[in-house]
Formats: sequence, structure tokens, C-alpha cells
Amino acid sequence: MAISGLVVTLVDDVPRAARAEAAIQAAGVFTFGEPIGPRRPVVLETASVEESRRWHEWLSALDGVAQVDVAFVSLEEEGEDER
Amino acid sequence: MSGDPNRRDFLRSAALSAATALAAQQGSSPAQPPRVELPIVPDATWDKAPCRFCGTGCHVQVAVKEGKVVAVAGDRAAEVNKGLLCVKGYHVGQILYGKDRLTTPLLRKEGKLVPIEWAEAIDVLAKRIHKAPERFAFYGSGQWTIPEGYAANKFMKGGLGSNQIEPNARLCMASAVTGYVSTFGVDEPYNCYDDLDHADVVLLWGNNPAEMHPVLFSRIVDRRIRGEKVELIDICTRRTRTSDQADHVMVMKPHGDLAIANCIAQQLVAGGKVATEFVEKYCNFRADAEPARYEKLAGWDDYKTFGTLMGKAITFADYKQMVARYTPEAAAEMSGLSVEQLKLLAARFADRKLKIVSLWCMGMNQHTMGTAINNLVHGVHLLSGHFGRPGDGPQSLTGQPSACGTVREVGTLCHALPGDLKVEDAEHRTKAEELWNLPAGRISPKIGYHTVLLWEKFCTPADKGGDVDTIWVQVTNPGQTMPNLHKLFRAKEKHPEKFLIVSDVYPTATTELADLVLPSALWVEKTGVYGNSERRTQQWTKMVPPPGQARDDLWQTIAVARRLHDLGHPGMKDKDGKFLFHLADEKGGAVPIWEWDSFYGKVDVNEKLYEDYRRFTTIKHKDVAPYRELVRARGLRWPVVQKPDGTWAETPYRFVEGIDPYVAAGKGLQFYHSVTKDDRALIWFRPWVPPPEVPDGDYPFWLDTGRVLEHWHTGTLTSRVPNLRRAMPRSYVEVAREDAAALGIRTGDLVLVETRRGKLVLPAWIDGRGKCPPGHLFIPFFDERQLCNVLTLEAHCPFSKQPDYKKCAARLRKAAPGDVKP
Repeated sequence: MAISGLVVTLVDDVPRAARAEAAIQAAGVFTFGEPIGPRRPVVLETASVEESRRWHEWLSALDGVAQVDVAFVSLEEEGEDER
Repeated sequence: MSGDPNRRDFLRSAALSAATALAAQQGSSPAQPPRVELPIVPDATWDKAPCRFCGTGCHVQVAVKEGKVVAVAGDRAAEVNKGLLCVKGYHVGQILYGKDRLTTPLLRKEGKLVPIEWAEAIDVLAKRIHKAPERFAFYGSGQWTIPEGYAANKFMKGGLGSNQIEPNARLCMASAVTGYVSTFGVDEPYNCYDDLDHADVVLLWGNNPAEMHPVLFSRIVDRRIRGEKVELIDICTRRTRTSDQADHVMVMKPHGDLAIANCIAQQLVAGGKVATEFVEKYCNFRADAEPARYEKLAGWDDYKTFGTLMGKAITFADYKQMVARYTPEAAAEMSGLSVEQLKLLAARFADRKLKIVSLWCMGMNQHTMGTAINNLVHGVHLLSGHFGRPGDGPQSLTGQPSACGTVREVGTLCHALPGDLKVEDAEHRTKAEELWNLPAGRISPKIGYHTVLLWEKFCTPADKGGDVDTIWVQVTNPGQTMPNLHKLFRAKEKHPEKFLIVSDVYPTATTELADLVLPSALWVEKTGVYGNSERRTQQWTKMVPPPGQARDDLWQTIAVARRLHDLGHPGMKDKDGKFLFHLADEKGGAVPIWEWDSFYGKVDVNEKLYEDYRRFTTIKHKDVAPYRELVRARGLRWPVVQKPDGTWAETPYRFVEGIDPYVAAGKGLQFYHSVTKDDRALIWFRPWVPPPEVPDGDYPFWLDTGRVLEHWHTGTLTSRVPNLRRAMPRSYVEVAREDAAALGIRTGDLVLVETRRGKLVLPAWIDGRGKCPPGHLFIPFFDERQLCNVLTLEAHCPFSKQPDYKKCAARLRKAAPGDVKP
């Protein structure tokens, strides 16, 4: 289980931003906080850090998303490093 | 643990509150005070620390529970990052917990590293030094904390009477130092990151902040999202993630930057756009030689015969004559930029209403003309008057968390003393001896070997001039970072009489050849102080214990000094017969800080050493803040001067009246350490010359090396973070699509890259993370299994001695079965 707090900043093109927001909601792994202007605080909760990373990349590449910042990450629940 | 729903709820709530707070802060104006509430993590305590990675100096909040770091969050009270962290920063807690942490001292016996006790390790090391101190060298880095670097410097220069101490920062920012010193008379940026909040134009000189300094880059992106106009111009040799955001991407030929800067100057002069009043009031002109000498300049080797760090005075007429040949048409030929691009750059500088920030890092510093290009970029800002206003000036960035604090300010270089003093200067040596309470003459005037020469001496037998036979490495990994590795590191294998000691946290390419390995504490496992790229000194306090027998590098240095003291080395005593690192408790009794059990005990060793060092910093107006002030702050930018009301004020901009307390009233700008002793900065002419090695018929490609977003430098720390390692598991070579097609190479194919110094097999990546122009290759240096520095060139800037990792000649082909090691 991996839990991260992210800030997704949407572009100022309203239709593209709306489509991006809808896509993020439809993904089913993000919990939304209160929107602040173009910024969407979200919690990403996944089974593994690997999955978390994939979702992060998906967000970053999504049309209508200008930027993804990380505010918090829980290390407590990650598995031991195999190295 | 993950199955506990209450716990999950808590963490979810903590994550959301942190994200919401950050979103709110990003949307607020920069002047609005930040909110500092922390996420709730049950049973954890939070404390602040600077990030362990790059020179940006972001602050993180670190949550600790039961002796372990369990969460990190961006520190919203920190001016540098305002709550943001990059992908490396938010994984910084995990660097402590790789499974292969070094936890016990290891001594090589019969070819194998075997565990030994600390007492034996310290004894072996001290006796090795005692036997021949003049053949011993200390090699550290910009990851040393300020107290660690200060102790190492005092141990060497004040104790052993030897200047044979160097940092790896010689490899990353030495050209910035010589650039500042020869332009302003004193090192380090006059400005700060606040510039990024005010600039109209951000000009990147071979700099990729989207990957190397992402939090600073976010400040620019964030302004654009708020609707502000910020023009981003990327002068580069290959397209990067930064280029994707740039308004203008200007792909130049390697070394083209010298021609570009001179061309901007030529256009300003020819077009009557020199800021005459500014220049007449605040600047003098400088060059290596008279104009005629440059007319017959025959190349880099020739330039080295007459170029000097400090040059000589010239007139504006001389300067005009020197830059005259750098017309846009001529500079286009030298640099690879178009005439239109060169005119656009000059037009920006010609517009005094704009505010322009120039940023650079390794692209300009790892350069055989590194000092020269630093001078020239300062010069175009001075010549055009784009200097001294917030958002308007040149600023170098650094790659390590304390390259500025520990290397440049503490002076852990072979020519320097703390506080910007120099070993060659008799008055400076006397001052240092006085502050260290040493007998007169203890500090040697002889400059030690710079990094490249030091490792060459170590890798050369004594009968062939190799007069360094023992090196102690702390907090760095020269086995991966030295250029031309076969010659400057791996050759040690052939000389069993040479002895290598390495203090580190994980096994590395350097420990592989070590004779003695000492396990070190890392980041919040110890107390420390760093100094970032904008003169900000930052303190943190130990939060968790180091694993096993790992101990602070600072303790290791002091323990060895004490063992030498006990062996009778006279340098380990001051002139009153006290131990070099004598510390007393409140009652005046000596505290045995060389014993581990006493190190974090009656006295705060870090505070004491920092305060000892602080006395040096007032000599050249680099007054760092008192330790107790740093404990409270998220770093303070020097000079930090006490006001009449007893509070301490930092200085965001040096040399500027009304901001820098050392500038006299009525001066406007005052370069009070001016080379010419008249409070003026120098506008330099330095020539464009081709680099020492260029592609030819045998080696037709340019080879460039550097970093990637996910990994920090040699990957020693980031490769232990599963998320980062999985994101970027191994090195590769970037190849242009056209070259790949011509050679029948596809992405993922193993290819052989070869230079005159070595060869390497690694997978090709076509138009991948970065995009090379045809004829250009790029390899990141983070991968310890793919040591790309077997390929690189040790040729270095004649003044800064910093090698050029950004350009050498290489060839490329698909790997044959025999090229690949089993």
C-alpha cells in the first residue's frame, strides 16, 4: 500500500482541463480535495509504489494537466528495499 | 501494518491535508506568509532538514517514529521550495534504508575486505598518516557538512601543515568560483532565487533545471500558470525536458557558448546599446592580452600559454576591437546558432526595461574554457546594465547540497583557507594561525595538488613522481566521477603500495578498490549544517541513530586526529599544547569527543566547530549566521548582520545599497572586494577557441555526459530507493534518429561507445529522454555498472582546473558478441 498527496495543476483551457479532471476522477484511484483555482489536491492510493509511479506518470502525461507536484509520501507502508 | 484501516485513514488524511495546503500556497502571492501546519502522522515527531541531494537547498519536514524516518513532506515555511519537493526530494527518507548499508569498518586482508573494530580502523589510518604525512591527502566533497569540512580543513592545514585537501566540487563548480573571483574579486553569487519570481526572461546557458533543479524550475512554471509572462530561452547542445517548456530552443555546437556571449557583446557595442552610465560608474575592462595577440590565436593549447586568471586592464576601445570579429554571421559559424537567434539574444539584453536572469550549472562549468565563459556571461549582464535589480542578473547553480557552504566558504580546496582566505597569502596564513591558536609558520604556503593532479599522483608509482600514497575519501565517489577513470582511478589496482581509505554509507565503485572502508552516518543520522547556491546556511539536528557501527564523518576525523596526537604528532596540538579539537564543558573540563560515547554528549560538537569557523567569515564580509539563529530558521543568506535591536538580518542581494549592509551610502552598487580595488567589477574579453578534442574521421561523434531527473550524481543514494531505481534502472546512450538509422541501431540495441581512453557497451535510446542533434551522443553517469567516465577527457580549464565532461570525441557502432562481458 502506497499513499501520496499530490497537487495536480490543470491548464487554463477550460474544455481540456474539464476533460482531464473527468479522466482523473474516472481512474478510481484518486481522492479529490477542495479545488483551489486550477489546482486539485488529490490523494493517490495504490497497492504498490510501482503502481503509484505509473499513475504519477499517467497524470503527468494527461492532456489538460499542466503540472503534478508531490506534497507528501508515506514511507511507512512500503516494502523493504530488495537491494 | 497496511491492513489497519484506521492507520490508512490517518495517512490518507495526512496526504490530503499536505496536498491541500500546498495547493493553497501555490495559488497565493509570493509575499503571503506560508502556513506551516504539518500532516498528522500518528505517534511521529517532525523536524526540519535541508534535502540531502542537490544545491537548491529545499527544506523537508521529516517524520520520525521509533528511531526511523517514516514520512517526509515539503516544508511550507521554507522560502526556497515553499512546500514543493521534486521526485528525489520526496523519496529522500528512503536513502537511509538500503539493505546494503555499510555498518562496520572493513580492512582489506589478503585481498578481501574483512570486518574490524573501530579502534583498529582508526589506528591503522592514523599510523599510515603518521608514517608519511607529506604523502597523505584528504578528498571530500560538497556533501561534507560545514563542521565536517571545517574539521578536515583544520586537521590538514592547521594540524598536518599540508594543503593536500581537495573536494569533488573541483569537478562541478570550480569554474564558477574562478569566474566570480576574477569578475567581482570575491566568490559566490551576489543574487538569489528571488530573481526567479521577478525575471521577465530566464536565459539558460547549457542548463537543464527541469531535471536537475526541478523545484526552482517549478517556480518559473508556476508563474506562467498564474498568467505571468516569463520568457524561457534554452541555449543547449541537446534538447531536454527544459526545452519542452522553452519559448526558444537554441541548439549550439559544443563550446559555442563563448562565441554566443561575445556576439551579444559585439551587437551591444556596435548597436550603441552599452549601458554607458552603468559601465562608467561600476565597471572596468579586462583581457588576457592586448588585442593583437588574439589575432594570431592558434587554439586552446596556444591560449593556455598566455591566458591568465586575473588578466590585465584594457580600455573600452581595446574591448570594442576584441569583440568586433564576433558578428552574428561569424558567431553563427562558430556556435551553430542562426543569425536570427543571435540577434534575438542581443535584443533582449539591449532592452533595459526587461529583467533577465542567466542560469547555469555544469554546462558552463565543466568546460575547458570554464572560467572564460563564466566571465563572459557576467560580462554581458554588466555591459548591458542587467545587474543589481531583483530578477536581473547572472546566477550559477550548484549540484551538491553544500558545495557553496563547505567547499567555497570553508575553503576545503588545496589553495584556500576558511573565509575566502588563501594559503599563498602570508597575512591570511597568519590570521588563520591566530584564530586556530597555532604556532607561527604551521600553515604551509605551498598549494596542494588540484583534484585531477592529485589522483594522477596517487595512480603513479613513487619512482615515477607519484608522491601521494594515501588518500582518505569522505562523502564522495571518485571511482565513478573522475574523468578518464582508467588513468585517474582504476590504475591504483596496479600499485599495491598505495592505500585508499573510504568513508561511505554504501558500497561504491570507490570502496571496490579501498583498503580500508569506514561506515558513515547519513543525513538526519547526524547533526549538520549546509550552505546552498544562494548563500543560505541551513542547520538540522540528528533525528535517528545510524545503523550498526556507522558513525559521523566528523567524529572519524577527530578520532584520527586524536590518535595522531597520542602517537606524538606535534601538529595535533595548538601552541598551548592543547589538542587541536579541544572542547571544554561548562566547567572547563576537556570533553573526550574522540570517543564515540562522548561525541553527542556534554557539548554540541557541531555547534562548537561551526562557531569556531564563523569567526573566519567576517573577514571578507561573508558573515554566516550564529548557530542558534540557524536552529530556528529555514536557512539564512549571508552576510547575516546583527541589527541595533539585537535581531539578525540576512542579505538577499550583495553589493546593492540598501540591501547589503556593507555597501556605503550613496554608492548604488559597490563591489567592495574588487580586483582593481576601486569597487568596480570587471567586464572581460575572453576568446572563443575550439575545444582540445573534437570529432574527426576516427571518432566522429561528440560525447556529452550528465545527469537524469531520478538519480542524484553517482546513484549511490538514489539507486537504493526502489521507486527511483525502477523508474530509471540503468544507463543508456542517447542517439539521434538520423545516426541510428545510418548505423542500423534501434532503441534497446546494445551499442559500443568508444573514445581514445576507453569503451563501454550499453543500450541505445533514440529520441528518448533527451534529443541529441545528429553527431551527438549523451550518457548519464549515475550507473555504477556502466562507468561512463572511462570514456571522458581529463583536459581542464587552465584556471579553475575543472575537467570538461561535456565534450570529447567518440565513435559508435552496434555491439558485437565479443564486446559484451558475460
